[in-house]
This record gives sequence, structure tokens and C-alpha cells, in this order.
Amino acid sequence: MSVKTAEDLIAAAHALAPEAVFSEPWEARAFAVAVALCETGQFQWAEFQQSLIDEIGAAEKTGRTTSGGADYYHHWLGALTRLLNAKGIVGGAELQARIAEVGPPPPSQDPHGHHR
Amino acid sequence: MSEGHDHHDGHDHHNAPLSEPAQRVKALEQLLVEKGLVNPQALDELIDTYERRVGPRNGARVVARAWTDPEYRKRLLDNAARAIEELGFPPGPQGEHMMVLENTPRVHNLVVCTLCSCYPWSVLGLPPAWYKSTAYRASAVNDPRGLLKEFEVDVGDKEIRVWDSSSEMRYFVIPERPAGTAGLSEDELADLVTRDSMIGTGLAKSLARRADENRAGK
Repeated sequence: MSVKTAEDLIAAAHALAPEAVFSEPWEARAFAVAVALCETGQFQWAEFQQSLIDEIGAAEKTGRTTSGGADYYHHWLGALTRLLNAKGIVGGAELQARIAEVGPPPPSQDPHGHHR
Repeated sequence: MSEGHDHHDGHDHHNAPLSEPAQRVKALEQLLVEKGLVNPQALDELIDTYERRVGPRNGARVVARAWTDPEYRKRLLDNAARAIEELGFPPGPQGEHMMVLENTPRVHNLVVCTLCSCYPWSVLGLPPAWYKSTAYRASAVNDPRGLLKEFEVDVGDKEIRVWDSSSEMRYFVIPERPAGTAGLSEDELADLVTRDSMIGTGLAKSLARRADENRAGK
């Protein structure tokens, strides 16, 4: 990226839009897990998309609207876990058991820091 | 290379208890790593790519090239995914089937995904929150003219065409080239192309608007 002057910087900032792509680290992880599994052929993107449509559709049918923020990534995560369960990649019970293990977290011991 | 960037999540992630979805994602990731299906480092790289490298600057480059190179424009209209890849932007999972929509003095194009959030990631990055909101997805279809008013976009009496994205096809708008820009370089033109102008909820910046913004920013 060749940013030369203050004017260029300002223009770039406008074009890039100020809002953060992810507002919480878990949103980024959930996003990346879905993309990575698609890239390695665990499912087709269209299958994930359909699962996401179902999640959002089910919520909106009951009158719950989506703001497109954290609630959207809740749908994303729901779509992902449902698809992985349906495909027998990660079963629901298996996931529940692991959730019970990871939370509540032990103090100051986060083996995966969300960045390097 | 990315030194000096603030990490958006650079706070309290060591001791704070994890939220319910954070626990769920962590558990899921652990299981997938143990099964050998994901690699945490690959996830880091994906996140970095979509947070910092892929964004509307890519699309702006494509538009500026289309404005200045008629042969490129033809290739872009003919096979968008391939022409976009020519500029070094690989399609990724949401860019394999892509169509560009050219705004004209008579037609203004507006892109939405009514069912979820399909979006041309390779040229625009990930969608803004409002694009995924129930409100936008509904009003783009039900009242596109009213919606454009909310975005303060005046398209006069142009025909508005609304395009509903899907997993089969993503759309990307080439806004009209602003007046008086014949002498500008491709880089200068790209600076006039906003994210919203490539969704259809904005127009490319006029030279006057660009000058105003630069002045205000000083």
C-alpha cells in the first residue's frame, strides 16, 4: 500500500469505512472456522449458506430482527454448528461436553490467544 | 508490515470469563483442531486477510481500471471473476460467480442479499453490519427509492434495479465515473470509489466532495 500524504491517508480511511470487521474475537474465529472448513472441502459454501439462511429465517419468522452485528454472528455460529452436526463432523453432544470443559475458563490461561 | 496497527481486540482477553458464544467457538475450534480439520494458524491468517487485506480498496482498483481501460471493462462485463483475478484478487468462497452491474445515466443498480448476507468479498471485503440487517434486506426490495433517500443518494428519476445476491451469484456495481475526471490517474480515480458506491447505496465521489473531505480532514 503506497500511502504518501495526509490526503491519501484520509481518502483511504473514507474508502475503507471506519467500522471494525469483527466486534469480538469469537466472531472472527467463527468466521474463519467456516471459511477454512469450506476451503479444505469439508462442505460446500452453498451448504453453509443454506444453513445460515435457515438460521436467520427461523429467527425472523418469530419476529426477531437482525441488526447485522453480534446477532448476525450468533446466527453464523448456529449455522456452523448445525451443519457440522448434520454432517457428523462435530456431534452436538461432543460439542456440549467440550463447552462444559472450556467454560468457565481457568484464570490467566488462554492457550489460544486470539492473535499471535 | 502490520506493525503500528492496533489490534481491535487488544484488551482483557487473558482473564475475562468467556461469553457463551466465545466458549462455544473455542470448544468447536479445539475439537476441529484435534480432528485435524483446522489449523489455528490458518485461522489467524484468514482473519488477518479479511480484517486488513481484503476490502473495498480492491473493488476501487477494479472500477478505476474499468473506467480507464475499455478492453478491461469488456473483460469485466464478460467474466467478472476472471477479470478481477487479473488484478491479483482471487475469488475466495464468495467470488466464484460474480457479475458486475454498470450504472448509467438511466439506470442505478442496488445490491442486496434478502435471505442472508451474500456479498462479493474479493472486491469489497466483508459486508458492513447494515447490509446484513433485517431492515436493509427488506427495504432494498420493498422501497429502494426510499432507502436511497436514507443513504442521501439522489438518483433523480433513474430506473432503480435491485439485485438479490445468492450463493449462485454475487453482484458488484460499477458506479458512474464522476464528471471532470478525464485527466486523473487510475490511482486518483480509485480514491473516488467508495464501498457504498459499489453496493449501490452511494455514488462515486465528485471532485468537489473529495476536496471538501480533504479540507475537513486537515
